[in-house]
Amino acid sequence: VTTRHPIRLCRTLLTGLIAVACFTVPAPSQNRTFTTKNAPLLGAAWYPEQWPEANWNEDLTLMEQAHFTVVRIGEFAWSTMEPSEGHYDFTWLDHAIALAAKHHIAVVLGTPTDAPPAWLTTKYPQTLRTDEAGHQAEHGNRRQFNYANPLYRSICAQIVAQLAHRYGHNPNVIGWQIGNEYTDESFDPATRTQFQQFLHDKYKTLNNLNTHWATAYWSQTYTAWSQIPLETTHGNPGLLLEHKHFVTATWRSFQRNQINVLRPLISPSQFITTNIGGLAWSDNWDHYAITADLDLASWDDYVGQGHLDAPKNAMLNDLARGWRRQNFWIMETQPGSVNWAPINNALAPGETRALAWQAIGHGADAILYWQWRSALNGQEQYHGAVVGPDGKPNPLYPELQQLGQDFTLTRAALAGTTPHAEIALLHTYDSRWAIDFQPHTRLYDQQQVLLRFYTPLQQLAQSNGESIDIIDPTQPGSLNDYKLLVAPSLNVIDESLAAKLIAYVQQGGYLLLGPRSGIKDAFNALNPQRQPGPLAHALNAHVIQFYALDKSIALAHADKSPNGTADTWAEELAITSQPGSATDLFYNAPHDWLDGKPAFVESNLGKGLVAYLGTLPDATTLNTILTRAAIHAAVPTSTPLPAGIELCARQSPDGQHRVLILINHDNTTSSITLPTAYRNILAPTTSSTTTFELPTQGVAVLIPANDK
Amino acid sequence: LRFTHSILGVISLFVVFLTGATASPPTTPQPLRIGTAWYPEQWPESRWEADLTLMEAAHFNVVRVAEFAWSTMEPAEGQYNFAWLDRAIALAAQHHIAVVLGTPTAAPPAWLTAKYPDTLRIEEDGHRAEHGNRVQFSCTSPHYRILAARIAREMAQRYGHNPNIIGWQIDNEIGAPTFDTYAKQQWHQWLARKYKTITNLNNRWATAYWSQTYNTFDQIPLHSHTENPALLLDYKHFVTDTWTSYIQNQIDAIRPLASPTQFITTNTMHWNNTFDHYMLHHNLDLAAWDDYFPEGHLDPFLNAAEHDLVRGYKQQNFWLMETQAAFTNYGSINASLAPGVVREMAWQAVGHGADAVLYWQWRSAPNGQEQYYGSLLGADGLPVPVYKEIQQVGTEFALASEALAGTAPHNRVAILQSYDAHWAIDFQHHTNLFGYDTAVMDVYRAAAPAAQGIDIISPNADLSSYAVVFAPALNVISDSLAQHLLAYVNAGGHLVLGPRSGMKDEFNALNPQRQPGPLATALGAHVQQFYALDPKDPNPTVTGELGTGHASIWAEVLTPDAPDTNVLLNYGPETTGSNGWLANHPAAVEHAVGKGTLTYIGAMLDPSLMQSAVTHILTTAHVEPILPNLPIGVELMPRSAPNKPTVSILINHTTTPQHISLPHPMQNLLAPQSLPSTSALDLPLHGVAVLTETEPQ
Repeated sequence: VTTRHPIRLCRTLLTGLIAVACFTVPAPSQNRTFTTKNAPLLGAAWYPEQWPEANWNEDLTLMEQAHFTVVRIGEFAWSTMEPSEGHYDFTWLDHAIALAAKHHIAVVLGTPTDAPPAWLTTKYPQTLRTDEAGHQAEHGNRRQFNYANPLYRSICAQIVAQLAHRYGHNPNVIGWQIGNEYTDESFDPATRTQFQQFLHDKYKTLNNLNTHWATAYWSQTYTAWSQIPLETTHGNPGLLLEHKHFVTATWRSFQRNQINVLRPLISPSQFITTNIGGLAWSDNWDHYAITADLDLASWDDYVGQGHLDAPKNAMLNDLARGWRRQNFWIMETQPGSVNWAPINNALAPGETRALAWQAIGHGADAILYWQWRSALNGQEQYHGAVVGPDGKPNPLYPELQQLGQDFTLTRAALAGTTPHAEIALLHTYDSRWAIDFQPHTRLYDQQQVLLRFYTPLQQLAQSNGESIDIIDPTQPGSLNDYKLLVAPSLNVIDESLAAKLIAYVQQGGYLLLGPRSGIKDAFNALNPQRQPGPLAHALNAHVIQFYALDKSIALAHADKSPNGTADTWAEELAITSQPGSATDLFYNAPHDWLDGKPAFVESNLGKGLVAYLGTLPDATTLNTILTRAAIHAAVPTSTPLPAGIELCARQSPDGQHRVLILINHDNTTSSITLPTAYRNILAPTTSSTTTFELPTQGVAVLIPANDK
Repeated sequence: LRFTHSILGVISLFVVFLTGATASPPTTPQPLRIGTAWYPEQWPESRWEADLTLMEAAHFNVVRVAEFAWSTMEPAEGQYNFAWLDRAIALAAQHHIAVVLGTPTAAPPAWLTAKYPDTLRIEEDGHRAEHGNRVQFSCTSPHYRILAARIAREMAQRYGHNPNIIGWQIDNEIGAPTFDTYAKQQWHQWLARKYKTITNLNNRWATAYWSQTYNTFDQIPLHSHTENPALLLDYKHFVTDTWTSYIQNQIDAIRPLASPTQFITTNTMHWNNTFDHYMLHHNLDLAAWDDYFPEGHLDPFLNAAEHDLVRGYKQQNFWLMETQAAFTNYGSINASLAPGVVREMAWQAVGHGADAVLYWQWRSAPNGQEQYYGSLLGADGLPVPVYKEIQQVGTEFALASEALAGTAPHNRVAILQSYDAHWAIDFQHHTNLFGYDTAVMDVYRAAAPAAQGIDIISPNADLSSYAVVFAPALNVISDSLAQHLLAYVNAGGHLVLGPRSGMKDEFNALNPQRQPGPLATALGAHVQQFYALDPKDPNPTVTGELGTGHASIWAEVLTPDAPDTNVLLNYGPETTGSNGWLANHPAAVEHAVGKGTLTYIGAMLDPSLMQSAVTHILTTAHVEPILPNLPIGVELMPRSAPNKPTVSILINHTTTPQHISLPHPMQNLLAPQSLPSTSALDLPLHGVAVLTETEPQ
């Protein structure tokens, strides 16, 4: 152990500097595009600090034999890197990176700030997080740090600076991961003050805040910024939404603190990312905002209990690709099983490979398994691993080895390709939050609602060799690339979003809004128009009343003949002026408020169409509605693929080069016939054909027969 | 009117005792009222006229105003702004809409709790409530009581003689507990006052058990659960006294300044046993409650019983201060009441003695925790579909108002509802399948069709007017209550005790006799042993002169002690599982006492057997339906007054249309255009008729 920097930074001074910097750092890399070289990469999280150096070569040899090309290192190794304050030890890491290079394995370095060492939180207890119940976290787990604490940020900046100085130009370090799965906020008095300051900066005057939050209600009226509580559950919806914005801003500034240290010290070829946890779906903070400052989005894809839910996992990968509207990494995924589900069953043989190929098909450029080998002690001893506690391969190892072989065979064809979509689902965290704060019915599960719309749209798109994008329409970036936009529950629509959507439709797009759209404004206040709020005028229709349903109700055509069922949520629509025209979907619910009322309205607007679906129809009926919308939007519709077969396409930016990834998620062998002949590059000895037979979990990677 | 708060520290206690004097309720019969909670403080004044016009168009004649408007009325300490409220009340008057003013103490302003943090309540886990929600105040804080009385006094000074103010609502849905130092201090003083000596308390609580023995009163913990049952029961009595004095504090501020014609009430919640509602309502002029079915499906029997319970708080008509405009926001699904049910509920409330129905809410605030709550107007300020149905109710109330004025339900059957019994069972339910309210509802559901009107009253109420009194699960029977009940029976009454009765005394100690304790001698029988029944075992059969069926959940074996004790039901011969203890033993007995009868039913009976048993008992007591042969679910609710024709409200709660034959021609006040009188009615789904014996003058 050597003391590299005997001159200690003055922590009190830094505290002040960082506190000022929290919300004022400019976005460093909003529009940076990053392309992963040698994609797809395959690898694992590797923890050399947990093992004697003598073991390392055996680990890396096994990795190389499985065609691994990347390892992630260091993201929990703070106590090894800095065993006591200001005493750094990086020689082990130098050796580990160098040894990996010998095995042709690149390294992603994690900053270790998710798990501060005991000496740190003992000496600086103010860096410990306080939970909402007022309890201060302790050492012994991880994530015990206070994300808003300026001192913690300054200490993070120091360890990151050490790493960046040392490895910022190491040719075997290809990128950086900041922290790990940002989770767990703090509710200490200083964070509360920051929240109040955040509100002050945003609203300028209390009068403005009181107006937007309608605080005359329940005498909530604030007469001093210091009166505003920091809470997440029972508060005013305006406050709850701002807390999410504050959490987003605070994690973003936590991350920027490290980006600002890294960026000047590292090579431009090294990317900066963070691995997003919460199975991509968690909405603790706005993922678009957090990933905007990064070069690359990456997420941790775990099935947990049960087996791969192909449409759901496809949707989550598309969601992740939409955060930056570019390819992404799977920074962690499960080798067999996890340790945190109620029942930690293993994925079936072949399922791990199918999951990996599905991710690639949806735009992943790297797959890293978590973990290579379980630490001999620690909270995750039972988590799936590539090798056992003896360091020898587990049964899954050959499957990963096959995957490594797959990647080797397809690397050239996949280079520079990305999924392409002409249909996008609209998704915003404001809407997610607004509904989850006030679900109104426990049956309204937003992931299921999104999946209900995604599943038929994906079927439709993949039969054309297209993908589905899931995007936030409030982010910079054009909507005009899309022929059809579908917004299943766009709860929050303010005037500026409405204007952007109206412009899209007027220029010829088709916008389909789903139930619960447009009830709220950007302050989570009720829009003063009925739903869809500022889009009601453009729709020539509005929602008369919404209803939570405790049983499904029948839908009917105009002539009252049956047209499927709807459940969970139903809104009565009314046309307010021509040329709005109710289509052929009505509620048929005797003795109910909804009986005979329209459930769907479509209206011409400029060169395009805007439509509103006020309920959640059954799969067949919804498929009919979405297919009809696609036809109106000039999206071609083809014969659906056989059940369980997924077709993912990636193409070069000019669209000239296309790669098809076929996966059989079904539990029987299935065959698919394509309109033209393709060659399966995973089976180099086979010749090109139009019909491919795939066993259960089978994968084929196809290029047109005439491609090289 | 600034207050020197530093002197408050010396005011250590604020428990106000009952004065015993109930202000006289208004004597002139009031019209049937319909209206809503209206929050003018949430909207620009330019909007008010449109709101009140829409209300008037729905025949509304009352609004409740201001109960959360403290921050608007007193934006900074001691700086009052009532000009807006003056104008809101005046504008309502122009639309012929009377006003009930709420004191805003359920939602103190931010400046108040920031300046006086000791007014914030402390949860049992030690967390201090915060501003940003409501009911963050401590009901035991002396500071808070002073501040609450001050705003109430300001309002009363200004509006106590405003002719458009017809009444006052104190606070809103009280009951949030506090475990702060004031509460602990007051608890100890309360116990010292009650028990005088610590030895007395130790004896009553039997604290030698687990060495719980207290040396001083201030050693006694303030807890709401997992404590000595005596402590828990006293905690409830303490809570009752605390809320009663909390309300009294504001009554004392308002009453001297308010016209005698203005009533004072508070709005209470559903079947709520946070405190003893009989005690709480003693000094209020009127009971009022908030009636919600958050899952969107009316249970007409439950709702009927809840109305009867509230009517029993003061044994007089009551108000429905809040009820849902189609749906709520706090259920798990918040489905809407079907079309027609909002009207059905309004008339059912009136049938059970409501003199006013107010909808919550008129319009959702643009922000705030209840944006999704059912309302009459949408976010754009225009009516939503339920508005029309409520408008119809408004039209109908106007048609029936005169005939109903001054009338009330008068019933010959009562069910005793005891908070002590409810609490004692909740503290030690022994089986989680036994619910006190379920035991009450089992009797209510069985008795309602035959009785066509039931009072639910305190065991301490005057019972002399009742032919039959049911006391399901009257777990706590003190000697004095036993005397009161025996006097009723001796005079010719029929008292029917249900299972678990008479096990405890008023200190929640075991009675030294077996059940029903001090009534065992009069019963000529006692409970030999009680048994919780495992639902995995077959339900034991029960048979006898009251009928045949099954017991479940709870069964007691009775032993006759007197030769003339009559066994009404016996358990069957089965011996499976714990049924073996019951086999062939008596399950119900009766004994003649003086001119009356005392009955004990020792088991929870299936609905059909309960129906048969209750009908048998009512028939024996000559309680006959007024309108016989009504289908179950068609409810008849007569309201009467001296020198007035009886008005009967008839509602079809069933799922099919019903044809009802009347014993003689009657007038349907809701169909004045039809024939002057009719001897048969067709009631559609949710259909309502309001019948009078003769044509109204």
